Amino acid sequence: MDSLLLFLLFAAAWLASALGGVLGMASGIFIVPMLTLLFGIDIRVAVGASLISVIACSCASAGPLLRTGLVNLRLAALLGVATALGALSGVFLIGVATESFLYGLFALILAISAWQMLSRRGSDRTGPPPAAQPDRLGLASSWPDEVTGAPVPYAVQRVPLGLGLMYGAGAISALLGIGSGVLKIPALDTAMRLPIKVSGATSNFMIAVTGAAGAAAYLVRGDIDLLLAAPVAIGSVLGARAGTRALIRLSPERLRLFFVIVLALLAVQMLWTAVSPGGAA
Amino acid sequence: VTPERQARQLAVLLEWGTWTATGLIGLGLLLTVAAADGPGLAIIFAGTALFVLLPVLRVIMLGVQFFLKGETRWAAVTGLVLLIIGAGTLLNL
Repeated sequence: MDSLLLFLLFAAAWLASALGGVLGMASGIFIVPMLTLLFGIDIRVAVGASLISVIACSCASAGPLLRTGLVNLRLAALLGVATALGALSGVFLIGVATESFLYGLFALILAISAWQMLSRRGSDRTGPPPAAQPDRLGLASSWPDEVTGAPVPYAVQRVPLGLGLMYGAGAISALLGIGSGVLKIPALDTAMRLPIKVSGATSNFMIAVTGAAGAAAYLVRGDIDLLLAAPVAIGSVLGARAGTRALIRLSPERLRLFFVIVLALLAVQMLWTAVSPGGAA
Repeated sequence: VTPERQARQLAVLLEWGTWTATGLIGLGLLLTVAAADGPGLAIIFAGTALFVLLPVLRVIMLGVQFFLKGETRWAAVTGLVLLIIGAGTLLNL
């Protein structure tokens, strides 16, 4: 692999992760289409490199999120069981899934992401108070109010449904090399009724473990191309930090419509690759 | 261990681990570009493996924290996560 290609991979990963950081997303949703469509890399090889990028982005941004007090550690531990099991299922499924299926599934996830981004509003729902729900598992917690810093209590609902959705998110993550925030945040936010900020922070915290469950299997199987993963990982760490800093200065709402269009175009391109003869083996 | 201290300890682990792994991969990449048959690829592997291990170390730390707080049920949950990741890795060897 020559130096120019390494630099281009680094730059593309930096850009994808910075954009992801600005929008509060993991980079995988951009990295895999970029590697397959721009660099012509096999989707299975791209998935392995992207998983390393997803772990790198999650670890790089987890520190500041942990310090905010928004991460529900008990819930992350419990749901980690489901996502790890799902990730292992995904690792085994990728061995039997055709490339057309993988491209088609990715197109579907891109389309769902675009729809979510378009419909997302700055929800300030605080979740139901703990008294509204029994808390046999001890998952209820609180998050600090932005203005006063006072703890705002919330309960966790429909845990079995959340576990089921997280299993699916883990499988999709290992199959497609993405963080699956597209499934995790709705599982936490809509199904389990967590406050939106707690959902985002807890989802990000969990993404690295989901990614590691898949990536460890890929790594021991020798399915991670190290010379591809290296520039992608470095670009992802630096890009995610730049994106997070830019998030403070920029209004993501201004960029949202642009990225909805980008995601929709990528979805069409991935779908076309899935169905066109010779597009995917 | 207060929840704030628990979160701070996890944050420090992830931050130091991220920069160490990134540094190793960067060094390995430079060495590989300089000499393809040198130790560069082995150093890239070490950095990549550290990235994969970092979330596992985070789960271990979380389990220890739960155990020290007397929350053995939650320590057992983190143990189950480790068991699943370990089993999956062994099955793919």
